[in-house]
Amino acid sequence: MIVVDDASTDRTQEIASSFDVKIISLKKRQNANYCRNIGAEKAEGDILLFLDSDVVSKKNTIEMTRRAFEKNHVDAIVGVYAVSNEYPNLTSKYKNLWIRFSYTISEPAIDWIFGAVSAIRKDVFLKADGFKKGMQAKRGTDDLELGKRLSKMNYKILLDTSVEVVHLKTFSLLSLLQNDFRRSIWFVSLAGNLGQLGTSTTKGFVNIYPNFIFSTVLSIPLLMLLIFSLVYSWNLFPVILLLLLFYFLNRKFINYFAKNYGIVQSVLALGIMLLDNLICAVGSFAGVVSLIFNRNEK
Amino acid sequence: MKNKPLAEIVIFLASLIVYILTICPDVYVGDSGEFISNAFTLGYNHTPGYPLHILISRIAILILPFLSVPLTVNLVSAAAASLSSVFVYKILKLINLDSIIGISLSLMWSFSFTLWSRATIAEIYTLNILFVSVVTYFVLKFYYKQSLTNLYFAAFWSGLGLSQHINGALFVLSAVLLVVLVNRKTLFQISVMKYVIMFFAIGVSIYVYLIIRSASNEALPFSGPEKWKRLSEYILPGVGITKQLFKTGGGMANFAERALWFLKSLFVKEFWIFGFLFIPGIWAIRKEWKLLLFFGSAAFINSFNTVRGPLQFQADFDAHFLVTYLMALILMGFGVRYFLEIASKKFSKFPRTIPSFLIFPIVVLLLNFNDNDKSKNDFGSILLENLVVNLEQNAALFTAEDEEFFLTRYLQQVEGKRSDLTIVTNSDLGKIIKASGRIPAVSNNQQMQMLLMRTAKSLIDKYIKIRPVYITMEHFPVENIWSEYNLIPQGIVSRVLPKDSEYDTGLKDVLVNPAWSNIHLDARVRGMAEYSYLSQFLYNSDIWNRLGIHENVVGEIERFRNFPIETQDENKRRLTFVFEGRANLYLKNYEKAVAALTEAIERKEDDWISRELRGTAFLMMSDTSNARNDWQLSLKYNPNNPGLNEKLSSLFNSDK
Repeated sequence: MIVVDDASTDRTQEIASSFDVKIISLKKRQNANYCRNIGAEKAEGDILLFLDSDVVSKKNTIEMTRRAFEKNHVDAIVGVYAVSNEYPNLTSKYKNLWIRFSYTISEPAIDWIFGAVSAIRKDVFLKADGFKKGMQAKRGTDDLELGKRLSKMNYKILLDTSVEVVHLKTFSLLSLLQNDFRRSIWFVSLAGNLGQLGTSTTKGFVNIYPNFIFSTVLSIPLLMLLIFSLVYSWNLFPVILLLLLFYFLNRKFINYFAKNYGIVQSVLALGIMLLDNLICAVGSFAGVVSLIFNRNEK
Repeated sequence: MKNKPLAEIVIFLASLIVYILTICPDVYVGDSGEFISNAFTLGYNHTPGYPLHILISRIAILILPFLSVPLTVNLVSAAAASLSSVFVYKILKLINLDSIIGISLSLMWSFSFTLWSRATIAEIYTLNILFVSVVTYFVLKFYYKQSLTNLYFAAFWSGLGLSQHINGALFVLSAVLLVVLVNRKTLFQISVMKYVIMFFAIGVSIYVYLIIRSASNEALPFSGPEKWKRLSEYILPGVGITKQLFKTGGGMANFAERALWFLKSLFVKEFWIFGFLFIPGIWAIRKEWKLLLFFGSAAFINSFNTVRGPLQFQADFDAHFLVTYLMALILMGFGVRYFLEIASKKFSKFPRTIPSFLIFPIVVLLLNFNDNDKSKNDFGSILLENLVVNLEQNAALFTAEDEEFFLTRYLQQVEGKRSDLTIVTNSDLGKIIKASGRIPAVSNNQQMQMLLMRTAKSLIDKYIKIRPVYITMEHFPVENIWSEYNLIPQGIVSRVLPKDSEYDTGLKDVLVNPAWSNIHLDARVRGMAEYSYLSQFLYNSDIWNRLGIHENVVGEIERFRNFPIETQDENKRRLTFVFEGRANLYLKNYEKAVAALTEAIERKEDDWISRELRGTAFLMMSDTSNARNDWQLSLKYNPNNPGLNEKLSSLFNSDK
């Protein structure tokens, strides 16, 4: 195991050195992708397993990864978040389960990498020049970009839902909305730069499936209509109609949520989803604007 | 990295600077007073409401508080026109024109007469043409690249642009046609179509503003689209849309007259000697028939819709052709590209970039500068002052035309002056019928007049007993209403300005009131003003005549006869003969009346007013045969004249 210390000022080195790991210390602060690439270069094994700092691997995660490589002739394996009952609030359950759901309904052959849990053959990783050093890992698009690049080079990436990790991150409603607002901007920028903004509406973009994109756009008139109808005492029939359409578009996820956490919570999750969709819509709009003004990350 | 948008910035700034140099600093005539007032108060405009213009102008007022309100709203037009030129440049780049030539053509668009004339006043036309150019850009991008993103952009901007003008809305038909022709299969996929509809709907949803504001805004005296079901009645008032689209106003003679005017404008007024270049543009894309159909249908629908309408006497007739002018300019781009391709094939050293091309926009700029310079135009303010300066406290003023009503609204709502006045407009009377749905739809003009009168009576009941009443009305049914109430208005507020200055405008072919020599007019107002001034005598004398105040009629006649007539314009000269005939009829000089009216009829065969008047003069001279002949012809040219029909029947019977 390799720990790359990005010129940290906390107790990272001290804690890491108490374990049996190889430590690489950088003198000047770089960024996460730079560290990942350095770590990959120094690694001695054939397979590189990347895990985010806020996930915990399950007991069989590494074993399942190894088996996946053995069973399939692929160059990279992407795992998923596990279902967990440990989350303290509904928002965290909603977000983590939605990410898992979005992966489980994807086709097994994908063209992106999920940074939270992904394994890549070392030689492939090095041939592709690793992660883009200029991209910020916190934007969550650097792994997607790497996957797109690998796919363009005809390397095969497999989504294997038996490879699971537990995501420890919790969200308050505010942090969820902030997170998704920013991510929407970055995702739209990436899709725009890859020339996949238009086709994302019919084919989806990475793990964001077409119905979610459509319900994101739909959430704007739905919420506007809801507010106006309440303030100006308009007929609520159009709102109900749009709400039904909204549920119809997201019915598979809501049913999935109900199966795991019960019907009552799934109804509340639909409300969170509506808000989340609206924020994503605003973020996507901001992403389009940033694309137009060319301020996107290259 | 993408290229830096240097050319776009240059085009935007160059256009904006020229517009700012020539911008009207104050309220202009026409609808400007309305647009400024509603931007200031967040009201709603006349149909179709123009909600986006209100919101954008309102934001501009908020972020530019150091500028006067009228100047700020005028600046919105300038910015929209400049941006439309930027998109014209992007379109020209899309068709592979060189940057210098692209800049030249875009600036020629900026400085073209009609666009410039609307870029310096508060109007909706430049915002409308901005949407047309944006949609054209995305639709052409879809044509060349077929990316769904461009399709969605086009759908969104089309929806948003629909709130601007009927000619912008009609343009969407051509855009849809091109998209269908380019990639029908993609468009008709449910997964794509649902987004197209959704983005279009999000754009159109700007109309919700009208419902919200009309439900809570008392700015206008007529009811508005405060409910969903009234929205469509408000946006498309009165008759059904098919009738609106295909009805030809004013008969075939007027249709031909307008069509000729349009052709002349295309070749002479708009692009001067370069106008002809759009014809090789058509030839250049003859093999790209889908593009040809797009530009052709957009230009045809726009020009036909304008030419067929009853707009020829309206001040904004020319601005309705802007979509056609834009299409012609883009076709010019294809034409230039075609010539350059041929030249570079024939002459190996022929340059594909010609910097001297930049001379063309400079020529166009210089040609149109004086006629569009409104930087000293104070006509609106002076007209406004003239309308209200003599009114007593708490008076009610009955107005007719937009420049009367909107100007006075501006004065009250934006400047906060003369709020004691109650302003009533006959446009409002019509709106009560159309928008509220309280009174059933009318089937003919006679019914409409009756309904107007009924509404007018209620307004008179409301105001006349407590307030002094003034009128500026031209078409108000004075005879029936005022005489029924046995009331005489306090006075007629004239839009004609006082004669208190010397006559020296230096203009040759224009009929000018001497008083106007010290007022700064641009070409557009000059045209409106001379017509307005002349017709004012007719209306004023008519009103006094109907009210039976002989000395005032004679006074109007004297004012008219003292008026210097310099115009060579046949239509305006005809009007002077109509008035002379009318005056002589009133003064019982029947032979002179016949002579003058004959002059008028010689200039316009189907002048039904002159024919009716001459018939009356003949009758007074006991020449029933000629009287009947003239009246019959008057009825032929204007069948909707029940009074004359009755008179003719009685004459025919007595003749028998």
